[in-house]
Amino acid sequence: MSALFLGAVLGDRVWIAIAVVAALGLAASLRWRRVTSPWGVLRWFLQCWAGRAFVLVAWSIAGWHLFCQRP
Amino acid sequence: MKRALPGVIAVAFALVEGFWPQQSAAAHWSVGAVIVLGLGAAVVFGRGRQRSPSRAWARSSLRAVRHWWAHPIRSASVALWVLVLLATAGWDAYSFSHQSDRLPTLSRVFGGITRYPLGRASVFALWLGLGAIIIFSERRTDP
Repeated sequence: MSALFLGAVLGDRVWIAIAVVAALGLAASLRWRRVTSPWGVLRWFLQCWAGRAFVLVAWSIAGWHLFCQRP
Repeated sequence: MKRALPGVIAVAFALVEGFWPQQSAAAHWSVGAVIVLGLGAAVVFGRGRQRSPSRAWARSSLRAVRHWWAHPIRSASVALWVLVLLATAGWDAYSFSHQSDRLPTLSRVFGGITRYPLGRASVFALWLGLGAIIIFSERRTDP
């Protein structure tokens, strides 16, 4: 694991660090119910039109960029 | 069987999308069609079924931020997710602005998966699933 981390370029190391923090947060939310999960954050956005529209637009842009624009 | 049908159709569609060449017109049109249909479905199925008006939602969210100490664990975990999102967006923008091999953007990281047809189909299926959750979940089900 550490060899993989040290062998990666700077940008990859930062992405790995962000992914590890997100995975730890997810694990904590599964272990302790009082810790908000990513699903809880998404549910908060989906309570009303403004939040739902914001998430929908982000989802649309991400899909278009990932499947149509990415070289 | 009826409940499984949309899932089967979505998986089949994702496989077709995955095996189309990424730069083909068909692949672009299908993604555009999904986005337009998704936005339309959100309006049709969400009309009159949101759990709260946007203003009330914003007000209650502001109140929760002001009284963060009332639920310290919940507040800290929400702060963690906000930081993860900001770090992701910020580092992606920083990497994009430098255009360097040492600083891959998030889409380039994903590109390592979507360059393969099955990887592209899997990510497309996940994207479709997330869209369905955004469109259909958390609506009021009472008439």
